[in-house]
Amino acid sequence: MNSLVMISLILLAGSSASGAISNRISSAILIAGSVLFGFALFNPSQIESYFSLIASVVWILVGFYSISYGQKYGRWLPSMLSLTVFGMALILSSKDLIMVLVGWEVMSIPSYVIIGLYRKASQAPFAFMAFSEASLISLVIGLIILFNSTGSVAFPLRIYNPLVLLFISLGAMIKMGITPYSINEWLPVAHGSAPANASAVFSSTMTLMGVYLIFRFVSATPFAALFQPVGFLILTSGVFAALFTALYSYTAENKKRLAGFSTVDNQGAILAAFGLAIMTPDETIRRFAMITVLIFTLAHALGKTGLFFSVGSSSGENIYGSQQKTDRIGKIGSAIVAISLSGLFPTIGGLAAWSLLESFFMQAYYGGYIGVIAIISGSVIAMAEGLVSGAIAKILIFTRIFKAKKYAKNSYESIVLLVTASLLVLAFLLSYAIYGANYTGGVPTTLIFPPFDITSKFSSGSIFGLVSPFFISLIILFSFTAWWGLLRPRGVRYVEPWNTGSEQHDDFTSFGFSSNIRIMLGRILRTRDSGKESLSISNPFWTAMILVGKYYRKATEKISYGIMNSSIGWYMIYMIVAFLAIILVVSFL
Amino acid sequence: MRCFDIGGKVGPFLGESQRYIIFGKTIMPEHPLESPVIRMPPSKKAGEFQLTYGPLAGGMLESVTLKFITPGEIIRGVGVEDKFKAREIKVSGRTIPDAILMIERLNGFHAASHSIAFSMAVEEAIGIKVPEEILKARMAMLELERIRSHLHVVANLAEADSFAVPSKRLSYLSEKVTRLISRTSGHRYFFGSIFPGGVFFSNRDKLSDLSSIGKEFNSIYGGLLSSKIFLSRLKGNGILQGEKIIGPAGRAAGISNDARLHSGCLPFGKTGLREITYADGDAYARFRVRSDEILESIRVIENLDLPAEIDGKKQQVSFDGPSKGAAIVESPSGPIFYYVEVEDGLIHLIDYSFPSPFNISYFSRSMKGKVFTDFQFNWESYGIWISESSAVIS
Amino acid sequence: MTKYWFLNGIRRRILTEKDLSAYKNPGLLWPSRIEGHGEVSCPVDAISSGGWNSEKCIFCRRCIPSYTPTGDQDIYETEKSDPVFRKSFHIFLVDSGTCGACNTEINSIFAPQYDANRLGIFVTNTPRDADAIVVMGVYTEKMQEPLKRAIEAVPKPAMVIGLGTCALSGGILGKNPLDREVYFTRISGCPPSPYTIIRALEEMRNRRRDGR
Repeated sequence: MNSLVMISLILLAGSSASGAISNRISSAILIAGSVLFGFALFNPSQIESYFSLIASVVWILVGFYSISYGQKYGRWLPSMLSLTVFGMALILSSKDLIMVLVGWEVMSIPSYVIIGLYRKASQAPFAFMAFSEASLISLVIGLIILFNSTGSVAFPLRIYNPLVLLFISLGAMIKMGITPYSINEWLPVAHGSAPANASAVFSSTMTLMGVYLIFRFVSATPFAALFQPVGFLILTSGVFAALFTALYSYTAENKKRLAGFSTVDNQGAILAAFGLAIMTPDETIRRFAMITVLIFTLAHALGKTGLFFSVGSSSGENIYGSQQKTDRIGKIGSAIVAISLSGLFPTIGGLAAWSLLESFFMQAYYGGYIGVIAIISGSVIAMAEGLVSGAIAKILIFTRIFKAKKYAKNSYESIVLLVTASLLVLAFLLSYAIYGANYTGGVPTTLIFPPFDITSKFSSGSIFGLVSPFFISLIILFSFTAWWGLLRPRGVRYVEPWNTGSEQHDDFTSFGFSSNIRIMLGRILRTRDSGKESLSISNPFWTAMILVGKYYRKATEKISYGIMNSSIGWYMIYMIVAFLAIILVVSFL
Repeated sequence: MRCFDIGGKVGPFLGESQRYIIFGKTIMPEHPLESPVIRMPPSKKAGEFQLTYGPLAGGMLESVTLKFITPGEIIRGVGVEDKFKAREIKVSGRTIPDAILMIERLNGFHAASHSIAFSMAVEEAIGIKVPEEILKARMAMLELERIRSHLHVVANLAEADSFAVPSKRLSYLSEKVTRLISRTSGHRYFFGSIFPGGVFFSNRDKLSDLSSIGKEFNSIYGGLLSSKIFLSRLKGNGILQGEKIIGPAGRAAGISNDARLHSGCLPFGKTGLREITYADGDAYARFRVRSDEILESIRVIENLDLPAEIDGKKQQVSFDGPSKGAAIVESPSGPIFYYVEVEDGLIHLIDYSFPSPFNISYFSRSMKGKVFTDFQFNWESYGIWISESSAVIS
Repeated sequence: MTKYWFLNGIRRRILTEKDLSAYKNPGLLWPSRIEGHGEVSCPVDAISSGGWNSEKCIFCRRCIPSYTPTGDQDIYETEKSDPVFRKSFHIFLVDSGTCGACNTEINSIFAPQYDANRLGIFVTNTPRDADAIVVMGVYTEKMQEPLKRAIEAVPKPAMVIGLGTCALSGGILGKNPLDREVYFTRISGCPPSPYTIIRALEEMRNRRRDGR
């Protein structure tokens, strides 16, 4: 561990400590620490180091956003937020898996505290806590098996036992929200207008840690028939999660729940790419899939940060009836974020969607049973991505564009949002760097000169498909200017909107927007007409998760009354401190 | 009274006016209103919103506002606001010749039904007994109007399905019947042809086009019945069941309520008229009832021994009648009832019952739980005329 | 055979009447130009000392036998013939308070016998796509606002066409919804026959071929 990383870690810890004094100072130190961290760890030749870069960019953005936004939430929030970031930095910078585990707990525990602080309903944080502990247990089991088979837990890893891959993936998947399907559910339930900066950190970087961990393990896994069942398991759970969370995201009325579900949907897509990478015998497709994971992660991390920034400044829990102050910069920023999250060009989100589907359909080209699996998975994921596009369009339309009630001056928070959005376009233009020389090229006859093409190809060298971010951006820019310059309507007469002669301007609701899916997929979503509201759906995964949380709470209550007979809140803090201490002691022994 | 006895319930329910409930053979005075007309949309539940359609919605023939309550896709309820084009028609205090000009413009498409019902009520009030050949001419006119109106409804149903060929062929037939009406009565919409005491009627063509129209309609009808796409839009759409349902909607729900047979106002009993009923009560059954009635009406006209020419000379007015009269006629959309009191040759009081308000409430009732694509088929299947339901007559 | 609608349609051949004036005389007398002399009791004052006023007449036949119908269907007036809409002409129908007859008559110009589509006449569902507004029916209080709104929504040059006696003079039932001067074209009749409607629209679009 070099000294720069050490200094950045100290800065991050300092940010947490200074949170108690001032939000501004804490945010400033957070930004400084993140800048240093990203700079110290980034190495273009090492593909893993891109994760540190992505994470530090998000933290910097969150830091800037928190300067004005965090004021509303008192001093606990900046402290705990920075502590979570510190935990993640530990994971990303560690050289062995023990340190990863320590970072894992340091990252998780402040989030319980934030939930505890801002809770309204008690069952959600307990469910979250229960599953987080399950995640840790699964990781520890994986670690033990790894240590037994190789005698080492330090990077670089060597993996011979598929069970290691299984348990580590399971632990990471729980953190990514795949297994219980709804990690981000606690946010809307815990607090109606939950801190958007915390949501951004959890949604984009905490899930990133899961991806990072699996990435390290999958990179170290050689191709063998032995690993294929695990790959299949990861692939199917990814595809399944992607489809269902896309459905729940599309039908969600709560803003943060919608965003949370779409996060899990993205994680599902990433997981599917991992599954493909493990299963495919073609080395080029495997590398392409791993790059896809990286591109997807980048698109998701930036996009989700932007989405939570965008949603953060509106009031109310639900899309329907939310009051939104909006300004031009915020509108443009939200639009770009929505374009990226919908998987459309010219943003990195579009490239991610293209890349993902490309890897699946390349594999399908080979035929065989893996080809069949690939084409089915690819189709389902394409469907899920389509639904998520609808969901994102819904949240954008009904909070930022048509339903915005008040116009405000451009705010500081909107500027940060616009910067985030610009990064999405910038990343699209610079994506050649991530793909590397192996996957870039050009077709000079069509005026696209090397290396302005991203090419998906097989091991044999034959090209499957190509896309040129540079060219797309150019065309969009050109046609937009041409339209504005030549075809801009002149001599405009403004008239009232024509609503079949009626003076009423009816409100089309976000609920109505997604009712088509509620009705068409009524069997899957179990749409019912309950007394108070029409067309309510039920989510069996969330119901099950609440149930687990309830039992977990009962158990902890019994223990706490047996030992301390005091309030549950104090017991929670005690448990957290004790747990931290034990883990630190164990790791340094 | 000539057509009705007062009191009791004899025959099927045929409507209600401000003063009477009307049954086939009797009218019952002084009653509480029995069939509330649904006009306002139901209240909204969580997640639902209101969609206003109209008053100038291009898809509707007349000005009407529909207020749908929906959570998206499914219609929870619909309120029909028909009073946008409400015309105030002041009949009382007018002379009889002026009054009939106003009554026939109540609903131009069903002008014959309105003016025949009104004329018969006035004739009873002022003591005219019209000869049988005039009654026969009126029956023929009534049936011609029914044929055109039903053709119009079936054409609209086909058009709602974007079924261009049958829709155009049916409107071709409809225009053909209109021309026949013009040759028979002198006017394409019977305006000025029917009045208390007489008719303008010409049978020079011997209504000869009718058999060819019947044949052509039969072939289109058969084609429509063999089209699964068309039928699946109608079957199970807008199911209406109940006891007191009037008009073709009632006959489609299995109720025998044809005023032509259940009331003695016009001698339809002698023509061998067969009443058509279906049991399902959906838009399909209403389509079948109307289509079968077209063929039945053609048969009735062919069986009538029609006079060659009636020149519109007025009958002798005696003014020794009971000065009040009532009559009912089965219009293409349901029974039309008029009650009038006449004093010194002026209309003193008018009371009426029209089918369109009933049909609107039936539509509103049967629209619940259906989706938006069902709406047009259901609406057209009732043959609703806003001009009739919205008019305020005094 | 009836199942194959496409063939079914073709087998019927073209049903459109080539010469619209073929339908001019036989049969259709009401409504048409009325000629005669003498004083009669007219319920709408269409016949007074000045002669016959087609915009007021409801064609009730009370003036028979002093006055008789000629069968001449050209009972309309247009401010001028404007060739702007020669190729295509989209109309939006506004029902201010009709009996329903004007509505069905203007729709019947699209029946196969007349087929106004071949002349480039179309009905739109929104005034934003329309070239002209066709106003039908008498004045009603609640329809005034939607009517004004519809006229406002038509792209310029917007034309307003008055269809039927009710729209022009109010007829027997009420008063006219718009001032007489607002109408670019005034089509008389109660209701105007499809023939009159087509002739009027053709003339206002400067498409009359027989040069009358």
